[in-house]
Amino acid sequence: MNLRLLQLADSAFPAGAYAFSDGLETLTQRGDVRTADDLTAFLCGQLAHGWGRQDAPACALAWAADPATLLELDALLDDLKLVEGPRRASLRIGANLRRAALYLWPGDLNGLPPTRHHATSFGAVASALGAGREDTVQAYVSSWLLGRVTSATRLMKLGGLDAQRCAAQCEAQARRCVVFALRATPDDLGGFSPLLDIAAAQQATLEQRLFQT
Amino acid sequence: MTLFARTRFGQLDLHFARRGQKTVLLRDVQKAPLMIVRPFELPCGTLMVFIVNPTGGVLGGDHSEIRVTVGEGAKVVILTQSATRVQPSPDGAAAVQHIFFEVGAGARLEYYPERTIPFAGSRFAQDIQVNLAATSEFGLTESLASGRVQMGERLTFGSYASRVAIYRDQQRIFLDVQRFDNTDLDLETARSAGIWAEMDYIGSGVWVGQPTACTLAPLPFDTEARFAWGENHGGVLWLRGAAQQGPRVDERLTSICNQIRREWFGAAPLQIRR
Repeated sequence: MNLRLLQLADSAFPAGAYAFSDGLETLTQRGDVRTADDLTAFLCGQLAHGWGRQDAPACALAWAADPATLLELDALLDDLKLVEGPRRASLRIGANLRRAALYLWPGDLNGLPPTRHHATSFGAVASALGAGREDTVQAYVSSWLLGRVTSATRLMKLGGLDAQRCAAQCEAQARRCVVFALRATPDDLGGFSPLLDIAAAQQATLEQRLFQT
Repeated sequence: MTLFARTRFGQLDLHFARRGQKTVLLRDVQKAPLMIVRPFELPCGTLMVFIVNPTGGVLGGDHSEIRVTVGEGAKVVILTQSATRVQPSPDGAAAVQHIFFEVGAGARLEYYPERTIPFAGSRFAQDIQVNLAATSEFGLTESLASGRVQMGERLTFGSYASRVAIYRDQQRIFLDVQRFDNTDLDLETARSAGIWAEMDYIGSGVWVGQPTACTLAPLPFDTEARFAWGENHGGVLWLRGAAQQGPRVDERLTSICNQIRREWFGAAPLQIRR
């Protein structure tokens, strides 16, 4: 795999994704996600019906896409991300990721077409850095998965090793998510995660919170 | 369609207009199994129409098309008389519903259908497109059951898809695509926190009004009937809800509808006896 892609997908890459839980904090505070098994089920659910049906295919479609397609994908994500918190988070992470990537690889990214959301920025930057399409989507999915379990260690009584085990148990679902993303068209973007939408919308009203969303 | 065709193509084309102080149904085309009950006026001046499907549900492979035009200044609310029961077809085809709404300047259209109940093995795909003028108002709610809950049949349907796109002056201002593919019947994933969890009824809604009238206090937290609303990036109000009991979803949807009717549309609460 492309070393630059690994760097781009690393949790230490300064895109700021660690600051956002996109509703997981609400679910943990309200007791809906309490155990490692709950977390694994939550992650598999999102890969199968939620995040995996929207952001992962958007990343695949953004890979090597022309500026007009990227513009349309970003507009589509603006619409599909109904809840303000996750929508703003996606835009902030996208902007941070672009800024950091342009700082690190100015020559390779000269002429990078405009993107706004995290998914589109990741796909466009990865392709400009020479990463293959399938590798890009795998790295993006892995980055999301590991980011969420890392967040979970701060939200739940869950050690690092157990958190990584949760991610490992999602491998089959993550693979299916990648396959779906690689075959998807813009019309396939959508999903079904009503309870996460509700949790994400209510996150701002929590009395104490660690994450911005 | 052949004589022996098992599936149906229902069609409804309704054209409303304002005549003086009243809204009237100017023209209607009804093709079975889609029909309407004679419209009647509510005390708030809105014309109410019930859509009826006397066959008791839709079958995989059925295609329904509903077109509604609401002329300048007219006020219309459309309801369905009963839940939409979605039955499977032997060949796995989806029941498909296309709905087109055209709402003129200063006009209002509200569409509050009863619940969709997908039976085991069924597939349902719905596409709702709404075209608004700059000063139109619009409201929509949807409600979905996990199946025939009272019979113990939960999350055994094949798929459910509902796409709602709203345009104002040809500019898309809202898009919601709820698509649940249950082909694998992976109950553990479907029941995970964030998707269905322990809930069996999901509600959603969208309203477009005049933004200056918007007052959105967070909805109170209730573990048994979880609801939240907010504005999308275009300032359109969306709603999501979920409950274990169907009546809880209905109560909240009705109460929120009436709040929005009062605060946004300046209209009295809907009091409907089905």
